[in-house]
Amino acid sequence: MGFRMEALDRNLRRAEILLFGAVGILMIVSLYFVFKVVPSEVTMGVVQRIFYFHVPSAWVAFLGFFVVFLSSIVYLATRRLIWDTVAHAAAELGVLFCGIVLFTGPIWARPVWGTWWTWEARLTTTLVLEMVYVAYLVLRSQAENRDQAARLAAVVGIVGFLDVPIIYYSVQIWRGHHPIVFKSSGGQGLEPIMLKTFMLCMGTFTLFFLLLLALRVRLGILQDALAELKEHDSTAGA
Amino acid sequence: MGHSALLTVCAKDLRQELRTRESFTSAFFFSLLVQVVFSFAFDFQSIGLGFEDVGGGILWITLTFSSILSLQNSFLIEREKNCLAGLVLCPCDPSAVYLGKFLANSIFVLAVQALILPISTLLFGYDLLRVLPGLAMVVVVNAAGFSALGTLFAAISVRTRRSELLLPLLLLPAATPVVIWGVKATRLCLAGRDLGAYGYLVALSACFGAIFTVAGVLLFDYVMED
Repeated sequence: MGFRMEALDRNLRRAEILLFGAVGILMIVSLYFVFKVVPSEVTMGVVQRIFYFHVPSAWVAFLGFFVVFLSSIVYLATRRLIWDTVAHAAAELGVLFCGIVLFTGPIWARPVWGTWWTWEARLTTTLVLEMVYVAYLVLRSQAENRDQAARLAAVVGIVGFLDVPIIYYSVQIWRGHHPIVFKSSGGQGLEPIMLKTFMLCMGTFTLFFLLLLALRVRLGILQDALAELKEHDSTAGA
Repeated sequence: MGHSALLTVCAKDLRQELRTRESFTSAFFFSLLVQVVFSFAFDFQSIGLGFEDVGGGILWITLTFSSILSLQNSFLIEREKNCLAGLVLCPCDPSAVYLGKFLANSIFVLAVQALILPISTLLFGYDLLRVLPGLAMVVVVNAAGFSALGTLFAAISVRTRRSELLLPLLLLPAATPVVIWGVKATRLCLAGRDLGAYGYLVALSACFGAIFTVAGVLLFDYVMED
């Protein structure tokens, strides 16, 4: 590990401690709000509360894919492997949270829509996106070496993200719309306490994402350092 | 220079295919087989569906899977005898290689379709000539859009250990838009609607093709270096 990497490692550790404390407290507060403070929705009942986890997971998944896109561009421009480590970490988290979205969605949809799944625009887009980024991770695992994995994955990370709005638009043409939970004008919008709880959960999940990202990036740095040591060792032995 | 390099790469690929006919034969019979499997799987006549209902689906499943075969092959032939290195060392812009391959792949896919479409309509009892100009336009635009992204992804997957498995995994979800628009436009076209009903879908597919051709030109450099 070079000097800069060591400094980065130290900073990441500090960030992790801070984020861990913040997420630990906020997660408990969020759970308290979701299960104790906020009232059940009138028509959907108690199952509507899953929405406080479902939507923040979706937001965080998209944030992850956006981070993949940005760090892929920076990697191709600078060729510094740390950016590829960030992209890899963000892609894994994106796939994880996208999976949570695909898991919590049907739990909500079964009692409310009367079906586990429907081929509606947002659902279909989420499923397709999950597959795009699973393919991204498979590509990484099948590359011949670290540099090649970084280079090829960066191209897919950029192209895949450009594809996101196009896929959404195409599925929308194909099928109908998602229930609109928020309305910009007054009237049937969200109750103030529901909105507060929702925003709290969004904040908690965003910090949770950053914590996991920092941990995964540091793990990636350590993996690279270990691979370097092993290579050094094998050349020294021979 | 770039212009002639593009055509040289394209002509090289087509000449190679004309001499061996490896891809063409397998892609053609594979496409034919898909039609037969479809017929067995759904038995359209007994469930009372005509070609105008299911033709779009059959056509696009055939086209996407046979395109994947040929896209795969267009880079696998370069891997043999290390021709890929030769292409990289060519004194021309790497994007010319991408565009040449893209053009050759599109021509190849369309050549297969030009044979398969009449056979398909014959098998399912549909009058192709009635809708030919519209249908041809839909197939050309969407097949080109699919190849634009497919050529870039084929170049990526050929670099990895298990390229045969990776290409469909990468390409099929990412190419969702052209497949959706292609199926929808084909269905409207086969139902005898005029261009006004599906023209916007063709335009959207053309945009998709244009976006990923530009992306391919910009990013192909990074895929080819080694």
